[in-house]
Amino acid sequence: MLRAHTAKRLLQNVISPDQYDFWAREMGSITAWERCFARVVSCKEEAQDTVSLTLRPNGNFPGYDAGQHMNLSATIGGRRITRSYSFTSSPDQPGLVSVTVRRDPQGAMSDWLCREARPGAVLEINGVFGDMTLAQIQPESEDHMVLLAAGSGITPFMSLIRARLTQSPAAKVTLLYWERSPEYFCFNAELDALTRQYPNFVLHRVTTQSPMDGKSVSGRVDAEQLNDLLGSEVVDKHAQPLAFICGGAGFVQSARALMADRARQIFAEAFSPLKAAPTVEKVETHSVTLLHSQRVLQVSNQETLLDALERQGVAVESGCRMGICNTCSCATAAGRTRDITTGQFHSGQATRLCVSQAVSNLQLDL
Amino acid sequence: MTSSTSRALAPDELQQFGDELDALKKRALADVGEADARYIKRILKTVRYTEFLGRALLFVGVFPPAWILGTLLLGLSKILENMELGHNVMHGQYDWMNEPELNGKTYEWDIVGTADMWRKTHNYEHHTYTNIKGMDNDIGYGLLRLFPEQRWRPFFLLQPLWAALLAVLFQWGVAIQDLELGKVASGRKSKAELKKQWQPLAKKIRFQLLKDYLFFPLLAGPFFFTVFSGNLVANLMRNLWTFMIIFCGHFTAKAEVFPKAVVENETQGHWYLRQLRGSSNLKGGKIFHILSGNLSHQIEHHLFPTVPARRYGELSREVKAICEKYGQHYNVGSLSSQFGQVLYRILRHSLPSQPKPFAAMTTA
Repeated sequence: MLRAHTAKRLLQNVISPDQYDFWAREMGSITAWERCFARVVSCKEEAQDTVSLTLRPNGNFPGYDAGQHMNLSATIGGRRITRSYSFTSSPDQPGLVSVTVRRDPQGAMSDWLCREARPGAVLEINGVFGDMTLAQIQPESEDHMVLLAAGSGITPFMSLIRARLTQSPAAKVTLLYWERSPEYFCFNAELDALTRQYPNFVLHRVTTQSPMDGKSVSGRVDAEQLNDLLGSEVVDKHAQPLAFICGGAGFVQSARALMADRARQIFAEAFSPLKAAPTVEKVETHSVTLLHSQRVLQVSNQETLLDALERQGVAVESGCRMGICNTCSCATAAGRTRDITTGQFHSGQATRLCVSQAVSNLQLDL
Repeated sequence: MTSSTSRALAPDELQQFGDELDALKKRALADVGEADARYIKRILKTVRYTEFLGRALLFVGVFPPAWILGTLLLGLSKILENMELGHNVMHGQYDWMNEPELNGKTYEWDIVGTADMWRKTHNYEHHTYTNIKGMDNDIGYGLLRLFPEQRWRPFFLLQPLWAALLAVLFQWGVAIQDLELGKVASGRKSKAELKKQWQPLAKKIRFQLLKDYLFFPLLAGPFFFTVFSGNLVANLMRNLWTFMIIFCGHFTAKAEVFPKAVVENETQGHWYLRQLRGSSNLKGGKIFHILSGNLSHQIEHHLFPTVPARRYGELSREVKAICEKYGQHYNVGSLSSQFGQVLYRILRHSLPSQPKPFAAMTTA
């Protein structure tokens, strides 16, 4: 190990990291100086429009905790695109990680991963993120965890549930899982196996559009549905469960409101890129000055800065597009922005472009 | 009264001239995509493989044909890397790819000067203030008098010698350009400032020298000197080539210089006009254009520095048509004719010469 380190330091005097990575790739290896490349090992159709990919990252992979996600990059049409995906694998499975991707016909990356990615393809992992982990939350062993997932919101819960049940086999875990119709449900075999293995793990599948045979509960999440699934008795705050919510922005918003009185604490992640909230304020156009390129662009206060910049051909490094990974964060030299996830106004600080709208003319450090 | 063969434009004409070039640029950028990505990756691959083959052949350089071929390949690799790859990538022409190794802000090239200094002296200063006397240090690199507008000093009598030295040591000239040693000598720049600039440069110089003149020669064991000399000649080849191409870009007979006052309230159209009048193109075949980093299309490069350079040839037809329409001279010639004019300038202005009034660009 020490010798490899010394060799690397010596080599660094005559060869650049890019050259090293280039020759490694030419020789068919994904070894890299510091970048974390990952090779697709297998692709499996998980459900309708949904594919699970297993990847083998190179030695620079930092590892991850159950419940976390990573920024994954692929080169599509000459352009490297980055999006966030939750790990659906178990962190103690050595050497391999998996993600499950639902195809969005409008989404360049998910469409490519579902239809074009083949074993052998090389992707890049740019960082691992996320606070929705057992290490961060530190639940007591007797705590009841209620997880509410809609659509691809199921993905971080797969690793989270496994980790929780491995750590505290007797802990109560309830998963409520919404999909629009039965053919979209993912991880059927694994989830059913878990219910057999752990009597304390309860699973309810709910469809929002076409009802499932013999199941009474269907439709979008509402109070009545939660009464049916979780019971309606009023419980003392300290005895209430910990709630985890994951899914599209709309689902997370409603579920969060509905769970407010039912859970001691709520942890939520919205998956779909947030659209600028339709605001009551009137439509305005502001000018944005990019300080490095000296470009001036006009943006509407009805779209996120990231969308507006990309639409006008400005290449901005971005990742999650939901305000989590900070990749698109950029210093604002002048002007005010509004964070659409919080509704708060900011000025003179780093702005995450994907969740910010212009409130005034801006100067960005781009 | 003016040396320009181009017509002065009325303000509304200048506006239209600028609008047409803007539209051309927008059209070109909208078309940029996968083909450009494939192209630059192929260039990168060629750079890497020619370097590898060149260095491999130099290891058996005791055999003269291997030494010659190895040196040529290594020189070719350095030329291609500096010109078509490094120079263009650092302009951000491929930033849209989001590819870390082709990122204009972080790319580092195979030359003793640092990429960061180049981004400042070249991308910012030279491209913004092209051929403005006193603002664009590329005019003579602080060493040569190429225009009569530059004040004559006896130092310039020997400038054919200075020019030859600059050509041979061109990478060093580029490396120390931003240190502005003249200013330090005359006390207009502090030693502390110089020291701050020197540190990253020293690191880069050490890297380049260790690599070319110690590591690879030592790797060759008993053939240390064949490898050493091959690297020396390859670097020399690159120096002479880049000197020639770059000098042809702005110092031909009809290339104009401008007074500092032009930048006051300069419009986009005026900026385009200045880029056009200060630049000159070279005729040549496909390989020649690639080896010059498409700086043989210097005019197009100066009009559209962020458009991938492989598109300049195609754009040049339309730029030329726009120039004809607005009565502007489109400065293009063969390498021998353009470089001949550069050499004449070097000789002529080593002696005192009288400036003519600056050419009028607008009628207003």
